[in-house]
Amino acid sequence: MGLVGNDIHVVANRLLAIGMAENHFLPFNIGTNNEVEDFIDAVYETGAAAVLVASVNGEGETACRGFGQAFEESGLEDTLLYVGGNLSVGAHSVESVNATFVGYGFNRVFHRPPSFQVVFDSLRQDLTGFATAN
Amino acid sequence: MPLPTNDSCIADLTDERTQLLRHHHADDLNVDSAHQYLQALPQTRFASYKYAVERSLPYIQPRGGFPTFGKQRELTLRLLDAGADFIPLTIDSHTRHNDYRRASLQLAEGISQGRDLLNGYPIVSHGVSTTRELFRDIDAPVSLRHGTPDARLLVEIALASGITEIEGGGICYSLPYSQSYPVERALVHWQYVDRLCAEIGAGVNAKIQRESFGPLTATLVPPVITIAVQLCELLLAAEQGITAFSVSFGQTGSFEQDIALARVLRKKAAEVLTAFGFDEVKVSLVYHQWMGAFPTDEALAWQLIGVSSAISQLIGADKVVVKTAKEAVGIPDIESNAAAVRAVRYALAAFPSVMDFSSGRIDAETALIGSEVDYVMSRIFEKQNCASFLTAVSSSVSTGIIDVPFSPHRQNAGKLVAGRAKDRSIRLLAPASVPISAADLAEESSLFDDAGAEMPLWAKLLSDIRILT
Repeated sequence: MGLVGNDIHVVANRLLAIGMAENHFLPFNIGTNNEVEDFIDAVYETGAAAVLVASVNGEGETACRGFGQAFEESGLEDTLLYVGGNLSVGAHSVESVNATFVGYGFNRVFHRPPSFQVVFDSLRQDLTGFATAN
Repeated sequence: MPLPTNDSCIADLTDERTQLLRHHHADDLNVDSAHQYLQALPQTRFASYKYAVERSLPYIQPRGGFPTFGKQRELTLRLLDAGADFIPLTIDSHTRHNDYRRASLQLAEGISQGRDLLNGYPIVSHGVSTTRELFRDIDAPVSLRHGTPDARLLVEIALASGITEIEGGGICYSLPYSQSYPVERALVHWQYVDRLCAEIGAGVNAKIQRESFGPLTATLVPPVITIAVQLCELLLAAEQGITAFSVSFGQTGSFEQDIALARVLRKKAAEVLTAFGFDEVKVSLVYHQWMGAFPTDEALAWQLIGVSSAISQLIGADKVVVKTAKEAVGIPDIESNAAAVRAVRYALAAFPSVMDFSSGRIDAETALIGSEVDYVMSRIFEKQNCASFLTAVSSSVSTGIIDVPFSPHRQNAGKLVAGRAKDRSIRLLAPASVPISAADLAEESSLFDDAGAEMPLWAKLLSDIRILT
């Protein structure tokens, strides 16, 4: 998990990591200022089952383009890809933002979610069958 | 043991200064520029002179930085008119990251488009003669506010421009502001700044005032971390010959904790200076109005500013750094900054003399924070395999003895967890590698009680961070 682009919104990132651990996941947090290659490297390094990409500063729309393809080309097509945060600058409908990021290859999109809980619940559902920290 | 000592003082800075200034051709800046200019400057332009004057209320220091000369000059005059005691010069973030080229490009682009593209005043791009002109006929000290891990050139230009107070330090301007600038390198560059300020100050009418930035990330930072960082930077500055230093902290959100924090900070600063033979150092206390997430509702924002003005006087602060009612929205405009100065002056006038507040709760809090600080500082002073105090401080960061919550910096441990008790005080929940005695940790836990029992920790911390919004 980590923030993509020149994004330094560390507070949300840290709280998400705390919440992940509380929900019995094993988060490996690569923090702020990451590119797609950094996420791929982290998956190689840790064998992560899921990647949580966050963008808060509005860069997501450009920084996440081709994300799924890059994972595929690296042989990581089975990795679950989530993206969340403040994913679009200006007033776009949730549907159109979702469609854009699904097009980039993400399995789930959380544009301005009301709470992190929905992320944890989805992840638990999608990772059924994986061993968790608990 | 890596104890602070004036043996660590840089003997001769001339070569390094010459090297640094060689790359900056504008204004014919040389190693004598600052000395020559400051020698002719009246004492009232010196922060350290002002701090030595008897007074009953804290000095008022607004913030503010705009890209262009015209707007910065207007801000300066309006702030003075509103009653500011210290004039700010806040630097843009490209300059803070030593990207002077980009700062200059965006300054030019902004001017051609008629709008502000920078979030502060790019002092390196403007240079010395323009910046001197900015403060022509101004009868108040100017304070440099930035967030720069390597501030050597910035400070050279600031001093030569007549700025007599320099905020920052190797820890407080790297951990909250940078992701990857090596902490040890930041500390060494701030050693340069400290030595430079000490040398320049020794040759002119009054000392150059150095000030540390205690609020750090201003997000659930426990008092022990704030104070440990303040004491380290005070001692590092003293090693380089600084004798006018301000320690600071940000409003915690708890009245009792603010009073206790101020007491411990003042007492421990005096203790460590005496312990290491730096008796000539004069310490001032600076209080930052609430640095966390601000209310978007202006009615609430004004109340918060009023309350923290009162606290600044009740803790006997020497200076209060003010916030504006537009804080939650973006960079405050000139009028919001001036209005904040007027409002703070109005609120301070209600407390014409310092009251010595006391209660059982405040005394207990003071004892607890004091004990925590002693424990952490003794671990820094006893660091093994460190040739100097600077190395011990740097090593304390990388080993998590100093751990700043919500710091973006890769060298910061980021493992400590603190939350708010029901009385809103900041309590250590998990100190991680920060050394806290079992007894103190037990007291922290009992004070936290079950303040967050009804929700998950991540949600509790989020609500603690947004407590005043």
